[in-house]
Amino acid sequence: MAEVPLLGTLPGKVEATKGSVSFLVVGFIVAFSVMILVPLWFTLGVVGTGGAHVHGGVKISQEWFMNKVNEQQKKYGLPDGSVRIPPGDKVSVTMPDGLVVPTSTSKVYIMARQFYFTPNTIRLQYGGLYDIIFFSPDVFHGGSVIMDGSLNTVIMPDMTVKILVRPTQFGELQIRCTEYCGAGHHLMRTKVIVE
Amino acid sequence: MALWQEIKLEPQDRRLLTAFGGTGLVIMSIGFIFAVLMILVRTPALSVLPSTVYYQALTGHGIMMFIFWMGFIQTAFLIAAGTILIKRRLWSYRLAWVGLGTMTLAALLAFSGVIQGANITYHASIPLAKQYPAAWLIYLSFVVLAVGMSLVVMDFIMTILGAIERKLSLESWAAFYKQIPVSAFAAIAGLFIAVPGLIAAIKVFGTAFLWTLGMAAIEPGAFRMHWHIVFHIYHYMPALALVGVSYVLVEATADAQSVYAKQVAKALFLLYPLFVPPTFIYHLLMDPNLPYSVKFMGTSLSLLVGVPTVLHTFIILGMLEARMRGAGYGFFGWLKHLPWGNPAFGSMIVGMVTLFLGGLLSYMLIQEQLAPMLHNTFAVPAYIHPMAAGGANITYMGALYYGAPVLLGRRLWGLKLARIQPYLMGGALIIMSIFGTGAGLAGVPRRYALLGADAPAAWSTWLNLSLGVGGMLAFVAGITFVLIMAMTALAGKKVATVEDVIKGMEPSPLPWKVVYNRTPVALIPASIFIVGIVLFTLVAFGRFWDMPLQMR
Repeated sequence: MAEVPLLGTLPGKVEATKGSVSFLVVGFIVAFSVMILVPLWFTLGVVGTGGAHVHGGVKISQEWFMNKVNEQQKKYGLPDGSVRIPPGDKVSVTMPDGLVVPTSTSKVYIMARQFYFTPNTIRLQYGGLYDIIFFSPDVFHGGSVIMDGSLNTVIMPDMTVKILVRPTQFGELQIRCTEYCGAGHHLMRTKVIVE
Repeated sequence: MALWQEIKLEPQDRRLLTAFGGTGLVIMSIGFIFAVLMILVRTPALSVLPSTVYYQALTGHGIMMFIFWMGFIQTAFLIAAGTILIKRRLWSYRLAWVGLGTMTLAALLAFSGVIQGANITYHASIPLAKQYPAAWLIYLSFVVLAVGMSLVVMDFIMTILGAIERKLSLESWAAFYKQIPVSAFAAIAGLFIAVPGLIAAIKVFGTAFLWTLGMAAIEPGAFRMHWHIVFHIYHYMPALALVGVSYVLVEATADAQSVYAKQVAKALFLLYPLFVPPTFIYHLLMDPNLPYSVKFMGTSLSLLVGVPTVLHTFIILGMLEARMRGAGYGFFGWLKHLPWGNPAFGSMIVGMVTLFLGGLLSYMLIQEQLAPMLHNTFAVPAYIHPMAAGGANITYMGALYYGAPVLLGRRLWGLKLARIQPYLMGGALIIMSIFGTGAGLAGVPRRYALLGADAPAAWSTWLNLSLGVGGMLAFVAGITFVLIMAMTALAGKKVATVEDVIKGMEPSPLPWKVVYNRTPVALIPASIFIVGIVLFTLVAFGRFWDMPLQMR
């Protein structure tokens, strides 16, 4: 076992030595190396892909938003009460599975209130690019789009919030409230069908 | 044994600390009862109570455990730092008792609010609170608590000032800085965030209280941000406290002493006030009203918040390594000779292990790019429990395994039970955390009473394992601790001296064979932690990109 020359030691006492300080320096280097995540984000190309896409933050009136929801229902409503939102149609890209999909966005307006969303069933096209826009006229809600995992956002009262999504799997998913909003919080949901 | 021989406890300190600890433990017990009520609703395999009970218990559990239990025990540590560690009499015992009385009143107000159905969680969101007539009690309780804590903080500051011989002499301050133990400086450094935090709490919750009475206007978005600033500061106090307590425990349980420059260890505590305040943004990464540049700066700076704790943990483990190698044990061989059967030591180490796990997971949540996948999901309680209920709380329990017997002058009751309690608590929280993270990644929301019949099938399995197994075991471990404390007070054997009190929990009589100051093994956990963060980040991005709903 290595013995280290001491800077000053009493029997049964240990004091800092040059040896121990060098380990402390290594400890500093290790601890601060967590900042490696910043260049890692740039390397992975993920800067601006998370919270940057939870945007909106525009103060608007309940009437303005409700008109949008009603127009959406009138234009795209189906007899079963659901709305089928067409995808945008300006520029197309090829998905990994060969499907050609548009890159322009379609807007989906969803009103969140205690304790339901309107509309309650939405049909989206596979591969379509959608700006889902939430609005709450009462309290804070969460807009969580759930399908084998979830994408979450916070819906602030009297303010729009958007998330830009592209469904890449056929089937059914849900939108649930994820910000505690009162006794019926767990009852809030909307069905989303990817066709 | 050096530390134990130095301990002197004045009767006034003994009474005050016992009152703080005892009240804190009652609050903690109430928090555990709320916890089991939540488990009984939220575990899909159980689900035996209505959803309103869940939201009520959720509010009670968060407020009692996170706000009040932590508040009481950390204030007690502040008093212990001033009296036992810095060896001063408090500036004013009357002020400290008034502080305790005020804090107790606050706890009663909060409990009354919860019982009267102010189911608003500790977030106490505005305007939701308007729908709950008893919500004013919650806001008022937060104000009264902050006032009570401020009185004790003021007392502590005056006590410290009394220890400086010449207040205007830098030399006096430097001498004081050099002379006090590392652990005591945690309390002093904490003041730099505690004082502004308490002032902000009084202002923010005072305004909210007036709002409930219709006497003030509040913009909901602004309140949300202010709440997060106050909460952010408050939830870093345990980081300082648990590290400070660990410095005491490592010496008390293993006779280990600093092998690094103590002044460096002390200065490291000042990194908390430097790194913590600007990083509250990471709670708001999913809010639509913040520009991206702010979120990016917030998330980048947030990476630094774990740095001081990583460094302190390295130093504490290094102290252990040096002491054990000094006793003649081998490169890794020293690990098995640590006092694993000492409940205080077990608590400290288990606290570090759960803190390690919670810390790893927390680094996923503070990354702006991953936040949409994890924000408000069950991944949040899955990381905060190993950190707060584990890292901080288990370490505090370790301190109380010594603290309660020493204050009461009685031997610990149920030492055999106490030996396994920290491991049970830590294991339970790890189960809760791992399966809870699975639940979060599967999209299970947090603060959610019932999943509903249309929930994905996997959700129930994740929650049954996380809460039904992990949560329930943690409850058993928590109640075991309360039982040990209560029985120590009632039936612990009365003894006269501190040496007698800690019999069975004294540091192992290790020989001093060589002086050993190099600590390579202590670097391993810190290195694994950093590598783990990078690996977890890569895996999390893989998961993010694989989701069938791409964010573009």
